[in-house]
Amino acid sequence: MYMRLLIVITFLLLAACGGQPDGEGNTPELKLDWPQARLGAELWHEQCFLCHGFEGEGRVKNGEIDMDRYSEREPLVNLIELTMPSMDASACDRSCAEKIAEYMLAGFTTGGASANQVIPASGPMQRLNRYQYNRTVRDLFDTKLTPADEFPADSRAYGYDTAGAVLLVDDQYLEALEKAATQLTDDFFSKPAQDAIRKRYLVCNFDNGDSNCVEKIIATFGLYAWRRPLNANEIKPYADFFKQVFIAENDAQFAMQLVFQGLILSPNFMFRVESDGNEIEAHPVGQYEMASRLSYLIWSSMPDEELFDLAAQGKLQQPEVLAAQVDRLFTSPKAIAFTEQFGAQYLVLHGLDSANPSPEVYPMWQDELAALMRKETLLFFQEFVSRNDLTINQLLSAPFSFVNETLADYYEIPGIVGDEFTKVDLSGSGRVGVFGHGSFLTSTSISNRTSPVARGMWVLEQLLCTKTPEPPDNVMTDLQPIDPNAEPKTTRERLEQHRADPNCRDCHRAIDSVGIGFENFDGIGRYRADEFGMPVDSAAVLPDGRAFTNAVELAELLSTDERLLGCFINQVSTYATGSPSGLESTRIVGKRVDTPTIRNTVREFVLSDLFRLRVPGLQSASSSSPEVQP
Amino acid sequence: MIKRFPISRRAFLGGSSVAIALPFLEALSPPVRGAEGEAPKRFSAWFSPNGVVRNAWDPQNMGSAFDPSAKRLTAMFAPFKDDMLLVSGLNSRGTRTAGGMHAGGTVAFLTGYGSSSMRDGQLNTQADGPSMEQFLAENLGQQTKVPALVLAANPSDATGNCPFGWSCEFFFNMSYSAKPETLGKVVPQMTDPKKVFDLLFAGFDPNSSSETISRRDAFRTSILDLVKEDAKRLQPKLSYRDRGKLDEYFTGVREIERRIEVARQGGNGSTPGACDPSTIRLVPEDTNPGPYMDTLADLQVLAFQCDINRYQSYFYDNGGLSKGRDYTFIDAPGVHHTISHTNDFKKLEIIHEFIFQRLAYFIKRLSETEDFDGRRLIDNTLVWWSSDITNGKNHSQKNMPAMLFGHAAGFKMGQAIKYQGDDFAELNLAIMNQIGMPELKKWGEGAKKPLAGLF
Repeated sequence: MYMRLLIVITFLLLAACGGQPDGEGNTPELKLDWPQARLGAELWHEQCFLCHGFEGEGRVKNGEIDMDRYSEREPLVNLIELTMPSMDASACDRSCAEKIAEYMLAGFTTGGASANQVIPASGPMQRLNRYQYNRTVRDLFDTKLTPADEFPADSRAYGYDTAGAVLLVDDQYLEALEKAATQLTDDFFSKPAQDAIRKRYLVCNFDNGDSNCVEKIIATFGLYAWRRPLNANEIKPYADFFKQVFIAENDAQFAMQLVFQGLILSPNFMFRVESDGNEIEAHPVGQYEMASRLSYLIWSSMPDEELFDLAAQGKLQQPEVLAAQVDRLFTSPKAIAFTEQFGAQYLVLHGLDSANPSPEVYPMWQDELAALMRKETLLFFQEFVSRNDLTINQLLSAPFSFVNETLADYYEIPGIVGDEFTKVDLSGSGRVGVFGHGSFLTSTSISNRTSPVARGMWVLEQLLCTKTPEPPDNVMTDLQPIDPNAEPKTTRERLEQHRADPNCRDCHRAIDSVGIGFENFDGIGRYRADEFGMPVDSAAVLPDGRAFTNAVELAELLSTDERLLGCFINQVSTYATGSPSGLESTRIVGKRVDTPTIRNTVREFVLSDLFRLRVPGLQSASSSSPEVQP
Repeated sequence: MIKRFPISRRAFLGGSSVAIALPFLEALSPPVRGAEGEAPKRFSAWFSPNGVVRNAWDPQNMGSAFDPSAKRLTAMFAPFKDDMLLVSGLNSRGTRTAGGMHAGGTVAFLTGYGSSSMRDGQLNTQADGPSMEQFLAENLGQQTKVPALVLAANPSDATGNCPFGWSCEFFFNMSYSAKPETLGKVVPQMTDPKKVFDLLFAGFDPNSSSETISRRDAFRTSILDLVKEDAKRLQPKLSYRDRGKLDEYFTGVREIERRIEVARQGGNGSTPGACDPSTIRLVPEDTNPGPYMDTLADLQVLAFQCDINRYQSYFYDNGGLSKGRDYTFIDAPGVHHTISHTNDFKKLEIIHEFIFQRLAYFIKRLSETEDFDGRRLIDNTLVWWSSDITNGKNHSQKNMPAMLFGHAAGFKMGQAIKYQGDDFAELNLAIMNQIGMPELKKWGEGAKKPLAGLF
């Protein structure tokens, strides 16, 4: 605490020497560098927000910043560089300080800048991930095959498996695609002649290799496979290829099958290409690209006929059309993809995959429970997606969930029979919102105990998008092991021991106070009144001074947190675009949402520049090519 | 009605009317394989996390007085003392930004570069240079079917934002591309023995005639040509960032074409010597992962023996993440990284012993397998074990532990050497100089000369 206080004092002292408005009250004109400010906004949320709040209002004692004291760039940059963040001033170097200062001088908002200046450049184009590939070929071929199950695993970046940067394409992947293309076209060409999907593409008789017909089929199937019309230059090589194989093999169907294989091995199928040649400034993305952005956002699949039609009519940048399409897409059964893909990753359900409860500490744990917990959370999220009267805030505070008999017994909820999941009222049970789910409680625990730190970090980073500072190098980041000869201590007591360490104390106050609130739930998500025979104390005070006594009260406090909505939009945006959009811009979008149901919120996001625009990246050669080896 | 193109096709290549040309990769020479001549030099990097328990690993005596059996964590290598060189005292690169001690050390092992968590304001997922086995494969391994075999014993699907603002890629990967278009990008690992087998021995199909296989490959090649044209048409219209993805695509397509061509020239099926892929037993992962891990070692040995592959990396598990394999199955419950921070050295020793038993199994298999020049496979191989950090209590890259096995580099084996803070990357360079790249003058961030004192 001493260190922080010292630095706050230094901050104030230096502040007094900073540039003051002149006697007339006129501040010298300051020309702002918006791209810098935008980057500064991100750094602000990562490194400064926790103590200083959104606009320097302060969230901890002495955290407030009086911006009247700063009107010049240089002194402010110096001050930040030398003293901030108070934990470790070296974590923000000159260039970091310059960006943060720019953001502060911009009045803690980049709202006045143009989209070009503040929306981060689109990341590299997104390859279909495994889930999207299966959904897409299901819609394209009306098939039951799910060939992507055999593809190499997709990586996740920024929390989602939609990031172009890490969805790699290599020989292993392409070989798997070749196999899939063979299977899918085998399946398709073995469908009966009257089959609807077959008739959709095979629109004329090509048995004799009639070249007009062949081109027509390529154009028709190509439109669906590449999610946009093909031009003549693109059709011709495929038509020529058909001809060559047809002459060599005298088998039109076989030749067409190879053509179809080519069309779905093309980069135009596997990547969501958005090429329009405008690499200069932010601009509305093209019509067909917009159709795909919408369908992949909500369905994880290709556009349907209606979206293709609207794209052909050029209507997919009209706000009322977009708004109606968001509602339509969400009411389709295909919208389950939004829950299974976005919801599952937003709520970190993959964390359950590596849950590893110790059989000694938790003899009642069964691996099957993880799947049930996953299902509970998915059904819960889906309830918010399918109904439009529950808000994002209620994800945290809703007094209901979905369980079957096994999970109900496990949670000690009476009266549920059978394997089917049903909705249950949890009022008065101590469980509330996602925080009552075994998925959250188990995946944030380590094998033999709860981890209030992991739970606190999960809430701060995942739901509130508040980065917690890194622990200093070489500090012990695990609790001291239990001494079998000493009196047993509760996890909270052991944690408090750890927090006595001045290296840890400052950050952990913010993290732990949240995590402590869930201590009535053990490392596998069961309710407990005591630990080692001592009563569990889950009361704490949040850094902003609000106090709570248990998980239900904590959930209530968190559900009204002003960061929740902006963070949700930020998560959706990252999921949709595959690269970070910036908390600043998503917070601005959040202000436009009336009643923040999932659908209303996603609609507002779709209408925003973040979703509708394409923002070209700078062509900096130095930026990403590492040094070449000799 | 179902048409499966490999089967029941008339000779596609036979007729003069065939209009589809095969891309002849003329730069490729046929597999270099002396029937009675020289066997190639092989390299395998073997990584396990969280360093070692130093007291149980650091040798009592240096030089040839080194006795592996004197310490618990070298005892399993006692039968191979003459094939072994223990090295300590080298300083590796690590992290340039806070919190990445494990991630940075993992990347540095084979690349020689330190790492940062961010690049261009985005999460950094790319190393500053290629890893060594990729570099060797790119420069020396192109005539084998699988130039680099990248294995991991712990599936790496925990990706994205890992602790402390680092991308999970760096925690989970030590192999980074050496191809110009994808330099420094993660090379995906393979964890499933069956998929590894399929990669190595695809085309090993006793039921298909070579004619059927070459016809199938001719179709594949012509479709790949077609889609490559699509990609070329697309390229000029794309942004700088998107073109990087297309480069990955081209690189992947070229690799498949190269493999088809190697197969066409007889690199498939005509396996040398006693190499027999049909004998292997593929054990999937189980509660006790030992037999599964040993299957991966069997595949590594087979890949060398059949000369399908010469350069490998093997990633045992990640360091630094508190989620990971639980060692209850050997009575050391808990996660390796978490335990490594404690003073429970007894438990840690059990874990490291289990890990090194896996490595010892690989060395044993190499030493009992005959190469096609009649020597032992280990005589023509260099295996290099190291880690991300020096030990669990001290998260630094100073005094890194390392062990070398095999004689491919011509180093003086059967001893232990302690260096005084020399650059770890000089050992990367020394190895590459000795196993086929004598002209290479530097490696990674700082190594400008090969490590001295190894002969």
